[in-house]
Amino acid sequence: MIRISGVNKKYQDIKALDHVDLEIGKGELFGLLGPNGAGKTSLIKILCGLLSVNSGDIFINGLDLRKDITSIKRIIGIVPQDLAIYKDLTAYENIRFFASLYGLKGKALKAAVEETLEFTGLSDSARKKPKTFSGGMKRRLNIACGLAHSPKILFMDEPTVGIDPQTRNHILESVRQLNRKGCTVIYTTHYMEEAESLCSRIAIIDHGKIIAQGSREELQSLIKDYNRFVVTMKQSYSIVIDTLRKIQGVLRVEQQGPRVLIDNDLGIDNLEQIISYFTESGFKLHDFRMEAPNLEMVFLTLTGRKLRD
Amino acid sequence: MNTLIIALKILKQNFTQPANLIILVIVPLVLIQLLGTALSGVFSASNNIAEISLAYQVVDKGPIGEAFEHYLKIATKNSSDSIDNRDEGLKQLEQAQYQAFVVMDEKAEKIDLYFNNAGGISAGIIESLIRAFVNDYDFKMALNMKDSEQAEIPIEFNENYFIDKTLNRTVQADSMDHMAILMLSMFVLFGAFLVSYTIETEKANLTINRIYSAPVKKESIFLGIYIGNFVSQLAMVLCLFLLSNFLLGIYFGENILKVLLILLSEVFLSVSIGMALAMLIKDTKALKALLNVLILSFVFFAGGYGPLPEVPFFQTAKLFSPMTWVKEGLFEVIFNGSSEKVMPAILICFGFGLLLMGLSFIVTSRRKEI
Repeated sequence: MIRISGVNKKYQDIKALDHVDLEIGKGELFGLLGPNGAGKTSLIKILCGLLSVNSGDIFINGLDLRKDITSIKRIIGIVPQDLAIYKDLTAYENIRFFASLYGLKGKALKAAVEETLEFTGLSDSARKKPKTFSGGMKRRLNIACGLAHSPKILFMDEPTVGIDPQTRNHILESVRQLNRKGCTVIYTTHYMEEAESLCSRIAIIDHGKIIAQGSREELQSLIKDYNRFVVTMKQSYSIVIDTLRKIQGVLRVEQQGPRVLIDNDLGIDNLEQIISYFTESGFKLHDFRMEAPNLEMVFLTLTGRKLRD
Repeated sequence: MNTLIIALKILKQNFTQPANLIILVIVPLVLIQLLGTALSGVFSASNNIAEISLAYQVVDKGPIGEAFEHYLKIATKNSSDSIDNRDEGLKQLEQAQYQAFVVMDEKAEKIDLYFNNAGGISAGIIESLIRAFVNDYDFKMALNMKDSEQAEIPIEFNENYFIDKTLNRTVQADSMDHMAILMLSMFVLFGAFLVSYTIETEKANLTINRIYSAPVKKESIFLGIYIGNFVSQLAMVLCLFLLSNFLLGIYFGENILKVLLILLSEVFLSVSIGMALAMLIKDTKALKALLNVLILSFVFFAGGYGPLPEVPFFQTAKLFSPMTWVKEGLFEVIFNGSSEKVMPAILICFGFGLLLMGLSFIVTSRRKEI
């Protein structure tokens, strides 16, 4: 459905996208995971025709983005990262305005607006202006404006930034529902948990480059020897992080009160040494677990930094 | 269709914002009332001018001299005396028998105004009276103070004071009428701020990105924004026009259509300025600064903040302000029934407006990125 090959984008001397290659299939819920400034928004803007590329090719639904931009725009929808709504128009008027730009009119327009209000849980506030809305309601309206025209492809650029967990869950469930209805969703985020729980395939982007892509399992398999030991001590002893780091295979150590997170790439080969450190130091242990690698660890391993750095 | 959808949305936004109506309709109405009342002494013969003692010598025996003498008598409520000799007048001024001494020369080309030290506030009033007479339009208004019997006499002037040789002397314009025209022509131009604000808000709220990501041609978006702003500006100007007419009793002459045509052309110019600058300049601070400089200069050089000094620079600069042409066109058509300055005003506004609109249209439609 979307084929991106060799796309480069520069802002003066800064490379926003560096030879990006991606393929996203019809009906996929595709995640674009990366820290702030990685190039996610630039890529979304390019796919929506708001930015041009310096080089490379993009085909959406078989249409060349350079030549058939208007036809492509008819089948896409965008939910931008920042709120893009009119604060002086009601929720109903906001959705109706944007939907009407896609050619909807009359009864079809009315039905689409009402259905979208229902879908986003804003029916009761349809005649209210967003300035009276909570942050979560504004976010939902922001989403509603992007999907009232029933796009085949929906670009969602970090739609859950800065909202409460309840609204986030509502939005994530809405995204799943949309996808189940057949909408291809490209979802950008820097929240690893969202990408893991939501997306069937994920591309990890950093400094404008796609550094890995595939299903969650495929990405995790890239670091199959990596794991995380979670050691819980009986109380918050002061551990010497440097000593733990010197153990072969240990990549990173973080203490969170009585909990110590130890990332390592030697599987269980250094387990004995790690346990010995705690017992020889006189730290009494309460619990010990080993977690399988997650996307955070994949990103950390591939880039050397945390997703939220 | 998309053009209409965008235009209607802007129309709705502009008319549901109380601030817009307050700034572009209510404020000018209040200013017309306040300033019109405050300046009524300059324009109206019926108001008292406190404690003025004025001597004058009118050497010119022609119609201007006659009009000037008559004007002084009415304006000072006969508290002015004629003196035949300049030296005698100056002597009496030094002796503080008068607060001021005015001399109009034999060709009616120059008025000398002398004050003694005791001038004070009265000196300011006297100066205002004389300035009001010298000022092109105020001069006509002063003449209009003549009673109707005298006013029927056709007067022909060969001086630069007048553009028209015949005057509509049945019209008694007062300060309120004067302020109404000034405010109307000024606030129409101020509409450029609202237009640029509308576009800036659209950019700041990123709603413009949403519009551009929809299957709508750039040309349709441009026209939609333009039409929406133009119609809302025009409607606000019509509101101001009607309210000032019905509420304040402002006189707009017999040629209402021509008055409206001039205002329409100024709205076109104002929207074009606001739109062009907002579309062409991406930096918000630079946009605000340029818009302020441009619009406020136009208003200043058109005498919107007060009479300009009689020096060549200002007299030349005022010709470059479209508001000068609009104001003069309105004064001419309303108070003199003359259409001589209507077409220049309309052509200047439409010409300049079209140029700006065309430029921003071309740049916007060629722009590859939003």
